Amino acid sequence: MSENVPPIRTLGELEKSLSSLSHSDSAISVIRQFAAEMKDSRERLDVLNASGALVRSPILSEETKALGFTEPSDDFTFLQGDVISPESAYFLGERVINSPKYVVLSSSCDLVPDRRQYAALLRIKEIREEEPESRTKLSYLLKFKRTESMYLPALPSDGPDVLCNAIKFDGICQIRNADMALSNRIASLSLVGWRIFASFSRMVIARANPRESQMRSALEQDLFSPH
Amino acid sequence: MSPINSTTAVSNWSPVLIPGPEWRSFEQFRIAGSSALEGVTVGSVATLHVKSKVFRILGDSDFQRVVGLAAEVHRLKQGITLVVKAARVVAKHPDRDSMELLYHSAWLLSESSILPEREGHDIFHMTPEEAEEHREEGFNIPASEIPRPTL
Repeated sequence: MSENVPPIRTLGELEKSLSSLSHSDSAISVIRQFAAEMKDSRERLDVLNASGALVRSPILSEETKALGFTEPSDDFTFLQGDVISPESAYFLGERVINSPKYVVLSSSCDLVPDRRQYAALLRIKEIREEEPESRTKLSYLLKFKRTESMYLPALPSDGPDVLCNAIKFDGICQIRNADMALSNRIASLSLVGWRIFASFSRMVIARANPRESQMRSALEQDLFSPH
Repeated sequence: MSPINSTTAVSNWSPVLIPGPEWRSFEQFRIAGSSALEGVTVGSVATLHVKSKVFRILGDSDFQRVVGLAAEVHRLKQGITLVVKAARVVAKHPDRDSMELLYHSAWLLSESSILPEREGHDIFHMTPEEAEEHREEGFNIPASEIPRPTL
């Protein structure tokens, strides 16, 4: 822990210290501000769809080993944020077929072989030219305004009518790690892409209406105060 | 029996793969080059003989389907094991309780005889209010003009 943080001795002090950290939405605000400062959707497309901007070719363990990351804990097959396309993942008990795309939600450290049995995936939905309001959807996603959807460019392997992709944080899919190991890795997220992805993941799981915090405080106001 | 959900589908795909190109040696495969792999079309499996070993080559879409189906069979195995155990109990103790156990376990399995599958992900929805707020005047870019990152 940082030396600048004063010692925390009570649960009340702990809650106070965490209140600005645990449910903060400041990361998403920064992302939205970045998108809002660009002139229009065409400019956002130029920035976010550039090669290496949000996505890159799948990161290989050999590449990172060549850069000196040779400790046993540096070894990996999959990383959080990888775009994959298996047919052995389940959504609400149904196996999804027809080459569906997903992003790996599980943390990279849980994807190490033999560490965990299952991994969590998020669905990637394609926005196609012919669907209703397709350009509005594209414009909307480019601004990162939807809390449960993150913009992802159309990938080289996508059909010619795909305008873009959206990572859906609403609904988690499951896959056995052993099956995932055989799936097709289409892309990895870039460093900034991974940061944006983590900001959305965190916000979806630990987002709070300010009134919830007030309600909980009101209920517990006497709990930790000395009698 | 509850009706099948509208998203539930059974794919027309079955694990029937037809023989594709065959190379009797690695040298033959190497000389043929990458264009030889174009003959490995969807639904076909190529064969490569290297010394005493035989390798099968198939496209990733077929491979993913086979792995997906294998995962599903693995999941169903648990149900089948239960029925087999119940049948053994009936053979040993052919009384009313064990008959009921067999009936119920078989019934549970028959409930899932249609493998629940979903044809890809559903489409991205937007509310009319969101569409109204985010519609951008003059932004009608065709997919062909949208830059794509190279990987």
